Amino acid sequence: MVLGDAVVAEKLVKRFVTKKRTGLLRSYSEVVEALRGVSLNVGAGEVVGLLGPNGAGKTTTIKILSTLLLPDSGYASIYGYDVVREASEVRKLIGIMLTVEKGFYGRLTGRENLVYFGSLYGMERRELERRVDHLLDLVGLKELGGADRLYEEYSLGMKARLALARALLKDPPVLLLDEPTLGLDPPSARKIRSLVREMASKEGKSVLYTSHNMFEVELVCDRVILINKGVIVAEGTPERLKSMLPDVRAIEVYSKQPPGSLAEEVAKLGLEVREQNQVQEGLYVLKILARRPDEVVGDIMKIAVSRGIDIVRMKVEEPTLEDVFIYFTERGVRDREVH
Amino acid sequence: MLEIGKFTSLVRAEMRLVYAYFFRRKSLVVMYLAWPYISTAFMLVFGYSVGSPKFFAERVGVEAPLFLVVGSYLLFSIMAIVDDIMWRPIFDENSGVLPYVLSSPTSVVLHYVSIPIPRFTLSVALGAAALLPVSIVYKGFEGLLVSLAVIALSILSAAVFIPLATALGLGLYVTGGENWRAISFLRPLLLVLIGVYYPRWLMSLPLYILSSLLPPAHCVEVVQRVLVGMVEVQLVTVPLVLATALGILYSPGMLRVSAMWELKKLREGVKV
Repeated sequence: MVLGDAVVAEKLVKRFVTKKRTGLLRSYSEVVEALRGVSLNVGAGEVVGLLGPNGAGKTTTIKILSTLLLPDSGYASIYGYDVVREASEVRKLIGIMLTVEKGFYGRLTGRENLVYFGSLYGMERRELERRVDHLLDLVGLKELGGADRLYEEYSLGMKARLALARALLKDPPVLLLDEPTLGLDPPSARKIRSLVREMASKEGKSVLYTSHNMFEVELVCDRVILINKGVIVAEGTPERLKSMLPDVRAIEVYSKQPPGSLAEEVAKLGLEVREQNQVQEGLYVLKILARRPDEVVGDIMKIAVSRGIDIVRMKVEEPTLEDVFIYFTERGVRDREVH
Repeated sequence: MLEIGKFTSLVRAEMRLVYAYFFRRKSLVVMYLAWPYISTAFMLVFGYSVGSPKFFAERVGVEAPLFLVVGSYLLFSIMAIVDDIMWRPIFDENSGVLPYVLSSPTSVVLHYVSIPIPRFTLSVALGAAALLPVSIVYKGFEGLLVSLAVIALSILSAAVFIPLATALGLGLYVTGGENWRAISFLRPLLLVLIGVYYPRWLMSLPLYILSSLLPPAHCVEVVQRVLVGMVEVQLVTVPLVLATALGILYSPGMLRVSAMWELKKLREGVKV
């Protein structure tokens, strides 16, 4: 194993030219800038989440790193091997999972599919059969009775498990997984997540993991990279990213009486009142935005007492990764932070 | 040595894939067995309605049913090559398999050479089951020998055709994009030019020259000469040497076109 970063991308640029038809004989070319100088790295044994809205450039990045797409400019490598010039070496080091719902031959069983792809990877027959058997067990397909069932009869969860098994087939040090849990039922999604985590922590595999699921990314990834419109807009651990948000928190005040008068007085203190008169569990909820919640909680309590409003509980909402995602993708400004 | 090992492993994998598809669809087995008879029956019904079998035998030198069954068998075997090579990139792309094929360390050329072999072996074996009875009925023991010669020549036809079929198939995809129209365009053209149903020695000069560029056409010519009893050494060896030489000649073209196709895919981005 080579030391250093497992995955490196430097200033990757990719433009796609598409022809748009406007009539029978008329058409024009449209240039879509998929990547505009993307740089990232994944360390050995690290799980890095690549987050971004649709069309942000996640799949394009994964495809370039998988040697399935040539960049227009920039450089990318897997353990030092250039993905363009040394593609055949790179292909020995990566396991890829690009879609969950297809990518196998429907008339073959899960086991036969894995043996087929193992042969393409040049694996020796006995080793391949042993490895396939182990992987079918590892991803839980044996337990689900799917090992020797035709792929076309698989559920989406089984398809995802088989796709992960294929990515692990040649025991590669680097996994490139594009939305591996998209559309899966909770048990299958959980299985995939736990396997990915296990591969990184126990076997030292490096994983680049794209997803839309913030909860999942927070669970699985050591570090998160936010990409939007082909540009990386933020990067860091989930905690670090949350701390990069503007220091505004929401205070939720639950009361027995309607909080109208409390809202008026609080607004006079210069605080922003978001929602009022929402009822949850028989209580009225007032949402107040404050820069330093600790300093204003006492004032809110005093006003409530003076207005005869019984406060049952107060809660300060912590920002979620989803808030970070929305903040950075809507802001569209590059704000790179190294953890 | 390593490449040979890789290649046999690939062929084995392709055999598993093709045989699984084949034997899990009983209708395909029936179709493979019946195809030479169905096409022969169709042509005989059509031929007898517009001409006479006696005239066919006099002009071509062999009875129409035997000639057509052998022709259908040859065509079925040769077309297995064209169809597999042209159909697989489209099928693999639609089923989402292509990214995993292209991102494997196996070379595209090695993969594409291995692709038609399993289906070809099937069409040879099952087609022989259709060919043997008819040959024996018409020619007795000589028919058995003729059948074995035809099978051997169909194997050679396929082997020498792989480089050109790959170059043509992937070349069409490079220039015109991937769609079924390319296959629809190429199939009938090859059907005529290979001379399976219309012997090459009866073709006009321009067609004959064009036909000469196709390696299997020479093998088919030998088969037809065997059928009509024209088995002089020179008449048999020259076309076979020509077919082999053309197969070798087209190999660099196959390598180049395969590389161009892969490059095109990588520039556009392999569809997921």
